[in-house]
Order: sequence, then C-alpha cells, then structure tokens
Amino acid sequence: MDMKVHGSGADSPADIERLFIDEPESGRFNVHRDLFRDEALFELEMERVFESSWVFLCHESQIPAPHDYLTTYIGRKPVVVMRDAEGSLGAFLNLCPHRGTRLYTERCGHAEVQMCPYHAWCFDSAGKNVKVKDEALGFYTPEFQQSSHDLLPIAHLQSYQGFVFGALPEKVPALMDYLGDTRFFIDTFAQQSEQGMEILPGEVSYTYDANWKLQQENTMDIYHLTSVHATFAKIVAGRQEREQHSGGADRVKAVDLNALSDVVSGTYTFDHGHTVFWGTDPMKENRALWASRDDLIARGVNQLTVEWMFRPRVINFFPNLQFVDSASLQLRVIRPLSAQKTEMTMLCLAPRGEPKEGRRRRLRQYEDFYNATGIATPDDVACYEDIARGGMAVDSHEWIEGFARGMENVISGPDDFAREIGIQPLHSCSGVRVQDETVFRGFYRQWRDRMQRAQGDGR
Amino acid sequence: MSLAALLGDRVHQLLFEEAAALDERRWHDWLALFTPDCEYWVPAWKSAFETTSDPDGEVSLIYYGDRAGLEERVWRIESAASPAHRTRPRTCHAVNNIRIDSSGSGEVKVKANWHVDCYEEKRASSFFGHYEYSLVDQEGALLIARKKTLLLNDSVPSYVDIYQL
Repeated sequence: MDMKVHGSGADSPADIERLFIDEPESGRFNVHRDLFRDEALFELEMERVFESSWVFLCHESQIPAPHDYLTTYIGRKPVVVMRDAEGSLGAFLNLCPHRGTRLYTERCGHAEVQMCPYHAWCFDSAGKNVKVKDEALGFYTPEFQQSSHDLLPIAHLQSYQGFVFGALPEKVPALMDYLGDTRFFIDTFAQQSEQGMEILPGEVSYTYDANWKLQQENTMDIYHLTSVHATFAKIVAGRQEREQHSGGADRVKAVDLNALSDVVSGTYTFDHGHTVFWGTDPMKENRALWASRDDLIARGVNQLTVEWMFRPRVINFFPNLQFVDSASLQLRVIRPLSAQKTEMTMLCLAPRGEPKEGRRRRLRQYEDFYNATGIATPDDVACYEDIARGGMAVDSHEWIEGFARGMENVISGPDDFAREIGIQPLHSCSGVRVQDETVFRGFYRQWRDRMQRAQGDGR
Repeated sequence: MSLAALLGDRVHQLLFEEAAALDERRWHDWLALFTPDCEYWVPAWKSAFETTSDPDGEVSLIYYGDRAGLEERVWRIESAASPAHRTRPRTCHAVNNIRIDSSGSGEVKVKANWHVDCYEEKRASSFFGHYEYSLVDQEGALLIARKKTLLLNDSVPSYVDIYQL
C-alpha cells in the first residue's frame, strides 16, 4: 500500500514490532515512548486504529427526534449522525459531495433539510440530495444526472443498548462479536431504568497536551488512585468526619477511594483490545441508584447484572470510549488531535425517570470528581502532561516499563468472578491491593496488531 | 455622596477585592468574602447560547450549595499534594461593566463581565465570561450570598480551578 509515513520507520509490521518488548515467558512487557510522541505514528494510528474499525459515535438520547443530528469524528473524518423523517439512524461524512464543504455546524442540531452554504445543494435527513441548484437550466451531462449526489454514508452504523457505534470500511467484524463479553458490563450501564438511559444536558469537553493512550491507561490504572487522588480521598474523609461530628451534612457522599483500596478488585482483557476494571464498593448505599435496586430486580433485570451495577467499574471500549462508574456514571469519548494533544468529551449518563433526590446526588458526585473543573480528573490530566513533558528525551529514555505490577496474579482465561457471570476474558487478575498493571498489555497488543495490518483489512 | 453612589462604591470594592484576593493567592481572604451558606455555581453549556439552568437536573461545571466546597478547594490548592497544583499560573483578573441590577429585600443583585489572563510554564491562556452576584449586608460587611459564573470558553485547555474563574 501507499505509505505516507516514513519518519516513524513504521513501514512494515517489523517496524511496529520494534516498539514493544513482549516476552511473556520472562515476564517482560515494555512499550516504546514513540507511541506517545511520534507524529508519523499518530497519522498511521488514525488510519489503522480509528478509521479502520468500530468506534463509538453517540448515545441515542442525544438525537431523540426525527431530523435531529449530532456531529462528531471518526479519526480525522467529520461525521454526522442523524435521524430521518421516520426516526431511523443514519451516519454520513459531514461534507457536501460537491466541493467538500462542511454541512452540519452544531454539535447537536435539528434539520429537515440542510443546505450547503457554497452552491446551495440541499440534503434531507436521510442524506439524500434533494436539490442541485439550477440543475433544470441544463449544462450537466447525462452521466451527472444519473449518478448519486447524496451524502456519503459510512459503511456501518449500529446501536447496542442505545450506544451508537460506526465504522468507515466495509470489512469489519459484526458489532456483537466486536463487543464480545464486554456486553455484560455495558448492560450494567444500559439497564438501570425501564425507561432507558439518557445523557443529561451539559456536555463538557477539554483538551490536554499529551497522547490519547494515556487516557486509555488511566481508567484501568488502580495503582494511581491513592497517590494522584490523595487530596480527593482526604476531602471525602473530611466530609464523613464532619458529618459524624455534626459539623454539617456530607452533601456529596462521594466514592471513598480509601475504602475501595482494601477490598477485592480486578481487571479483565478481552479480544479486540477492550479492557475492564472492577472493584468492590463497601458503601453501595451512597450510589444514586441504590434507591432503585429493588425495582430493578422486580422488573426482572438479571440479579448478577444488578449486583455489578453497584461495583465501581470501567470498560475501555477500544479505541475511543470509556464507560466509567467510579464516582457516578460517565461516558468519556476520546478524540486524538495529534501525538501530544487529545480532546475529551464527557457525558453524564443517567437512568430516565430517576427520583429527584437520586438525580441531585448523581450530579453532585459527577461534578465533584470529574471534568476539567472537578477535584480529581485535573490531577490525572496533570500527570499525563508531565509524562509528555518527560517524554522528549528521545534517545535517553526509550521504554515505558509500567506494566509489571500484578504479574504474579494474572491468569489466562476467566477467574472465579468471571466464571460466575459467564464471561470469557483473555486474561483475568484479581485480589486485594494487587492494583494490576498487566491489563494494559491487552490494549497495547491490539494496538500493535491493528498497526501491523494494511488498511481495508479491518477486524 | 448619594445612597446609590455609596452602594455602588461598596459593590465595586467587594468585586475588586475578590479579584485581587485570587490574583494574590490570599485564599482565606477570598473565602471570607462569601457567606457560609453561599451558592457558588458555574453552569455547563447546552448549546451555543444556552447554559444549563437547573443544577439539580442538569450538569454544572461546579455547583456548591454552601461554602464548604470552596473551603475544600482552597485546602486542596494549599495541600501541596495535588498534581494539578504542582505548578500554578500567575493570574490577572479584570472585572468590568459592573451593573447593579436591583437592590431591596436585603439583597443587591450585580452583574459584571470578567476576564482572567493566565501564564504558566511559559504559556499564556485566558478565560472570560459573565458574573451574576447576590450580595447581602451582614453586620456592616457586604458579602457574597450567591455567585453564578458563566465561562464562555468552556472547552478548556487541561483544567481550571477557582482562581481562573
């Protein structure tokens, strides 16, 4: 294939292979720092990681009505997801096929017909060209009149439990196969209300000056909690203490990271690069959902699914979505902008019809921990940026070696917890204070595998 | 001096002192300008010109129903244990277009525009927006009972905290 990239020396699978030391027999697994700083590698991963298979696009509740649309990206390519007159979902490149002008401008909008600002070609919400300005005056060949001038659809668009995924190329696995057993965990985010789930108004975004893969690592990284989030943990402990001594109500009831550290937790890696972290929350009654747990069981939601709704857990969907339930439910959408710049879009997911008190508590927990304005997420972001700042010593520090912890606990296949819920992870690691790092290997092995494939060989 | 001018003078002094306390990192002086049961609210944005309007039903960037949340943030800034505060920007607040909206029933409503320039690690950034205050007179001191901050450039580089707003 035609490779535009030469600087990275990533012209062949062997050149990607050189970026890893993956020797399971000797327990070594290291990743080269070029993965986090090389712009040529970045261009290649846009093509082979983001534009060659499934990515998360949006939640159905963001475009509830016919003719609603949402603009986003698949890798570098602008995409619009919209509902036609009947409410069916479609997804297209967000550009006029005539000159390539961007068509849809709002993040979330509504347009029965959208007109291109340049030459006034018009498109309906099913992506069909409904007007070529002055076509009736002639001057076009019969070939023009016979060929399609509709918006260019992406090859695949499919929802799972309200979460909408899309893929640009034809040849990709079936979405259900791609999600695999992560579906058990996604169900714990999707089935919290009989009326379905919704994204609450107030989408928040921020950028950080470091590589997108650091965000993928962070939510699987339990080892960082007690150091990076020490101030958060202390603030939460302070609120509990104040309340006990009648010094004022704890209005947030945030997740207690100290309590979380001393109970069993674990990680799973799955086919296609997805990973899961899970923990045990000794204070489940502080979750907004707690008041609804009897209703969940009464309406027939799988008892194990309900039980896992009250475990802190994160699902990293490869490559661009994190389902987070630590402080409260959050969807984190990752959009890499360059090797050292990433845009995060944060969505507050909540059960529809939630009682007012639960909704209020959910929001306070959400704002407390998350986002560029919270008191925990900024500490993560600061660490990513310090990794980037420490990462320019090109020849002096080549290898990241943070993938060793937990090696004595990791096993191939399912552990007891996985067997109980009937899932088949590639690797499992669980225990008290293991704070496993081996889970990152699953992500990086998938990244390596994707990067070694020619485009069009989507899997 | 008329009563209105006298009030205007006190309002200006309070807003300028708040800005100065943040720029000069006099965190406890800043806290003392708020009533213990103050509301501190930075709504999120729903669309180009509409912010969230119900803190109990929609996402805010920051929402506190009393001063405790602000005190926690000050503790965090001073703790030397937060990676996000290992380095901090020099900040320069400009508060202008101050309008006294209404006064009566023991409350003064004030609107203003704000702009904060920040400089950190040889890089400048800025944040800007509108303030809405409810001020009350407590034992002769004008204090902030409610502050709503609209952050217009809300897709922020890295993170923001109280001193950048």
